[in-house]
Formats: sequence, structure tokens, C-alpha cells
Amino acid sequence: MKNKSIKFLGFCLLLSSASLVVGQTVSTPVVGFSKESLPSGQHFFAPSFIKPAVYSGTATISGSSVTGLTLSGSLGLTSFSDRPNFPTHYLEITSGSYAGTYYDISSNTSNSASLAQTPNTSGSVTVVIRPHVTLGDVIKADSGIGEYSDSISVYDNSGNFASYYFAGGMVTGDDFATPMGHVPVPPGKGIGINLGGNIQITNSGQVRNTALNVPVYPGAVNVVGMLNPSGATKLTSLTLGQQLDAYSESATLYDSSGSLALVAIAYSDGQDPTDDTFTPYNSTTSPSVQTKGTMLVNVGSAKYITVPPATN
Amino acid sequence: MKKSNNKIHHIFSLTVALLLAEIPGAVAAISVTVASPNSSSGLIVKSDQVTINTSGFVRVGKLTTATPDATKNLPTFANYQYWDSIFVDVNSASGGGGITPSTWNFNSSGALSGSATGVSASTFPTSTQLWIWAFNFGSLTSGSTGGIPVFSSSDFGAGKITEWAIMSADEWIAPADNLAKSLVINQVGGDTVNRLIAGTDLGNNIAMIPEPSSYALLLSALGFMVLSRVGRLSKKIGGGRA
Repeated sequence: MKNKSIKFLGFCLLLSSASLVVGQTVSTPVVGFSKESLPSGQHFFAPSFIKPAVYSGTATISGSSVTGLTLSGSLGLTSFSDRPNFPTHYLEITSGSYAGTYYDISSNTSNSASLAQTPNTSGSVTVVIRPHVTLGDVIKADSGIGEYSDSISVYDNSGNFASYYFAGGMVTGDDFATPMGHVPVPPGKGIGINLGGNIQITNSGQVRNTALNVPVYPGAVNVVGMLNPSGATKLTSLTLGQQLDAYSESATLYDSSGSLALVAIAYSDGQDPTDDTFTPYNSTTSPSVQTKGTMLVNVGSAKYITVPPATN
Repeated sequence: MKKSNNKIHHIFSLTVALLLAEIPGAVAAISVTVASPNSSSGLIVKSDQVTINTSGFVRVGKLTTATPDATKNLPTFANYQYWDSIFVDVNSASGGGGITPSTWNFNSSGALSGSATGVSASTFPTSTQLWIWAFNFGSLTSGSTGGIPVFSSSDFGAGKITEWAIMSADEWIAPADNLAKSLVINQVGGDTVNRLIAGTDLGNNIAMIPEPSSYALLLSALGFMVLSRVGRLSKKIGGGRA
């Protein structure tokens, strides 16, 4: 951890402009930025800031369709003909028992959207729609990332991952030519980074002030990131103990020196997070997911891991 | 009494730990990428420094020995058999089991790129030294595990395998599980130990070395050039024979 530090973290309160938010609810998001040094070596990294909402208000969910929205422009997948396409925006439910759960938008009209997944809820809810943070937002030329040599890994839901590189001043595919900066980094999800030298990642955006349900899948590399951009998150501040299957599912924490040294493997006794002898952690003994850190979650069935808000 | 409870708790915990099977996680895999898209990243070229644009491919893997016989560096069938016996490919069924990319065949610009995905992290654990073995002839069959041509003695000689390069670099070490490693050609050379077993470091690019007869001619030509330069230099400084 000693090699990894937030060089500067700025916060300021900013009243949302009504022109930025089309819906009814106008909040006062905290915005900020951080510059974080990652030493040479290997890391799992998750951006913790989010982008401003393009819609916030009520909606009606029926199956994978959402109506009652006021939208402008295309919020669906990118429409490139020379490279893979990815979702650009996601809809997050902000009320009820599924608050904090999000779904990619496949397509939209001016007042409706189709979701890539079917929510477990229906009827009238409040939602927020935001653009995804992308690889191009996270890895920029001024980060000092090594062209051709340093790699970025993005994990899917079935145990595979794709590798991306930096060449010609942009994120590329493994042909070092196809622009791939539009690959999304979903909320609460992390990426893998393999570095030949030190880099500095500048992150900026809004700080989440609500909890997030991060989907995790069996057999997948579930890199779950914390939302707090300025401090470590103790495992006991999560609801991990109730969300992991007792004695079998786990969360692995690594250090951020670049060596991916093991910090702890946490299990659950059905109520609390435990160590690997199934002794429950308390607020004193609990290991922490480091600042801007991640944990690798290993599950036997698909579920959500709830990550507390940055302002918790 | 508390001590006794703790003991019971630990016995219970250990029993549970032993009885419960670990939930299977993602199969531990890595990706290995060859980075040779242009002369900026470095290309592998023929011994005459011309790009390879008609055939040829690279094998990527590890060696089963830490001290390979560097004297067997010339592209002969006997040397091929030696290197083949100690080379474990990231994309062979008996090796890393990764998927073979089509882009590990030289393209019309002499470039290489692309990744072998799903390479077994247990066969290629973290810090395994990775190697590239480049041929001026033949091609890989992409799309699944393997597809690596097996050569016979008749594949060596004019119009077939006449040149190759065998190289690694200090930076070319296998990554941790679920991460990728890019092998950049211009990283070859100037290593802590010589990792350019067969080839000539041209700065960014690496030139293959030719088969023995051509290699002898190349050495003779180089020797003649050196002698000529020495002779001219001697005359210039008045050190020549009267």
C-alpha cells in the first residue's frame, strides 16, 4: 500500500444544473477528482466516480421495457461498423428493494428504453440513467501508460476476459490499431492492469451517495470495486456476511504494491464476514479494501454484492 | 471454559474447511499478446532486413530448461528438433491450451499482433520467462488450440525454412492469473542475460539469422567488410605496410 497513494483528491459541492438533468429530481451531487499512482506490476483497479445523469425521475418497468422517460439522443449500444459495439448508458433503479441495481440500455426512443436484462421488479419506480465510464475515460495518454506493452483486462460474466492496449495515444485492441476506448467499465466493476512502469490515473466525476448492487457470477472474474474515492472500506461495513453463501463463497483482497500480494481471504458464517478459520471479523480485526481498491469475489451462484456509498 | 469453546470452534471451523469443497472460480487463465504491429514497436525481419510478407509465423511459449544450448541457434532440422523438444507453446493442447490467433502469421506488412487467450496459468505461472520462435516459412492454423505446423527435414532448405529467430526479453514474463502480457519486439536486447539466441538486434527490429551456408557467407562478408575497413583505416593513419 505504501507505493500507492492518492496524490490529490479534490471535492467540491456543485449544484446540478437543471439543464443536465431532464427529470424531476434535482440533487446536489458531490463531484471531485483524484490522481492515483499505480506502481509497475499488476493491479486490479476500479474507477469510483460516476458520470452525471442524463435522466432522473419516475419510470414504469414492464419486463425489459421502461416507459415514462424523457430522453434525447441515442443511449443504446455504440454503432461502429469497424469494431465491436458496447452499451453506452445504464439505467439504475433508485427506489424500492432493488434500489442500486442497474441494467444496460439496448435501445431507446424519446420516452422509452429497452434494457439488456430484465429487472426483477416492475411497475412505477424512480430511476436514473447515466453514461458508462469507459476505458478511454480511465486510461489516458498523460497517465504514462506504456504503449504496446502495458495491458488492460476487462472481464465478462462467464470467466473470460479481453485484453486492451495503448498505442498511438489511445486505447486499442490487441491489433494495436482498432480504437477501443469505448469499452465500458460498469459501475462497481474493476479491470486488470499489467504495467511495465509507474502510471498515474486521473479520475473525476460525481461521487456516489447511494449504495450499489454489483452483479457477480459463478466462474467469472468478479472484480468488485469500492465507491469511496478517498478512504479504505472495511469488510464489516459491507453486507458481505449476508450475501456470500456461508463457508464456501469468498472475497479475496490483494495489496496494491504491484505484486498482487494476498491481504486476506474472507468468507461468511451466514451473518458476518469471517477469516479463513471462519472466525467473524469485527470492526477492529476486519481487513479493508484499500482506497480505490477492489476485491475478487468467488461465488457459486449469480447474485449481487452491495457496496456502500462513498459518503457512508 | 472460554478456552474450551474456542477449541471447539476451531475444530468445527477446520472440519468445515476440510469438508466443504472450494467454490470453483474462474479457470485461472492468462492472455499472451505479440506486439509487433510496426517498426515503432519493432518488427521481426529477414536477415537482409526486408520485411517478411509472404509466409512465416511465430511460436510463443516457454522453455523447459533455464540453460538452452545457444550453439544450436542456426535453422537446421537437427536444431529444430532440439528447440521443438524444449519449447512449450502457449497455444498447444499439451502446453498452455490457449486459442491460436491468425495474426501470429506475418501479414503483408511483416507485422504481428493478437493474443492467445485462455492460456493455462498453471502451465504458465507468474514470472515464467516467455519466448518467441519466429519462422520465415509455414503458417499457424488459427481459431482453436494448436495449429502449429510440424516440420520434417524436407521443410528445411531453399524455398522453405531458411531463416528463424529465437528471442526473449527481461520484460517477457507471464502475468498473474486473469491478466495479460504483451511481448514487444523492441524490448529484445540489452537484457540482464543474452536472450537473443538466434537473431540480430537492429535497434527496434530483430533480424532473423539464415541457414548455415548463408550464415557462413554472411559472416565472411561481414569479416571482409571489417578487414577492408581496418585496411583503409591503417592506410589513413599511416600504419599500413610500406
